[in-house]
Amino acid sequence: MKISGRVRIINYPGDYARIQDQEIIIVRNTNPDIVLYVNKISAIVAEVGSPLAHAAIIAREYRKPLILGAAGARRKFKNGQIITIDTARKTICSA
Amino acid sequence: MQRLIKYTYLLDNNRLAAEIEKWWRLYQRLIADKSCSWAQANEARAILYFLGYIFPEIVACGSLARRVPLLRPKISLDDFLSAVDSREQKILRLYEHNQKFKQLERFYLLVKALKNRVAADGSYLAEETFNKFYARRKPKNYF
Repeated sequence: MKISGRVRIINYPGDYARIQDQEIIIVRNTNPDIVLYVNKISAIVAEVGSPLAHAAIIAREYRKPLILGAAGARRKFKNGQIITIDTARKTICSA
Repeated sequence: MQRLIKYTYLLDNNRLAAEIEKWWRLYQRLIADKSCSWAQANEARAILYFLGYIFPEIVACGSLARRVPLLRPKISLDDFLSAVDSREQKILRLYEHNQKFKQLERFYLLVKALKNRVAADGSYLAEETFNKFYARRKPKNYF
């Protein structure tokens, strides 16, 4: 599955409130605060890699496309940048 | 904390749930104690790290990765987790009377509840309270 969208970097729980509709969030891991905003996001990119990480659980519960184990992704991409993620190939490309 | 691993090996969900509660209560007690020492603050930090990361993401994940492939009919770990998380009835019906599946499902739900645990301060595993509590006790010469 391929999804394109604007990036929203999440460094702190307060960043969730800045999420705009259909953004792809890039996060180290999520925490339960995300539940209030999860319907706005189109996909999750997480730096952690465990299928039992909170980000992975949330993605499955809300059926959001997910890429796990994207180490350093928060440094590599910027807020507002357009990216395309391919969940089958586990790739992230900037447009 | 070795009991958490022991009950995971045994897949004894009742004792596991009780053990998680025991550690959670000790953690809550420590971070609520205004006279808590630096050593006790680090005991709380160890519990937080174990309950919030090592146990769910390494120990429990490894246990599921080893046990789920033993289920019959066969199911991958990803499909098992997706079926439980998104309540996929088509798959869940297949294992409706499968005791091993039910045991693993309950185990996973226990771990998931831990990952979703929000404390009275509204933060995940009371991390906000913990961070303030820990910062107040940090010695000036800490490295």
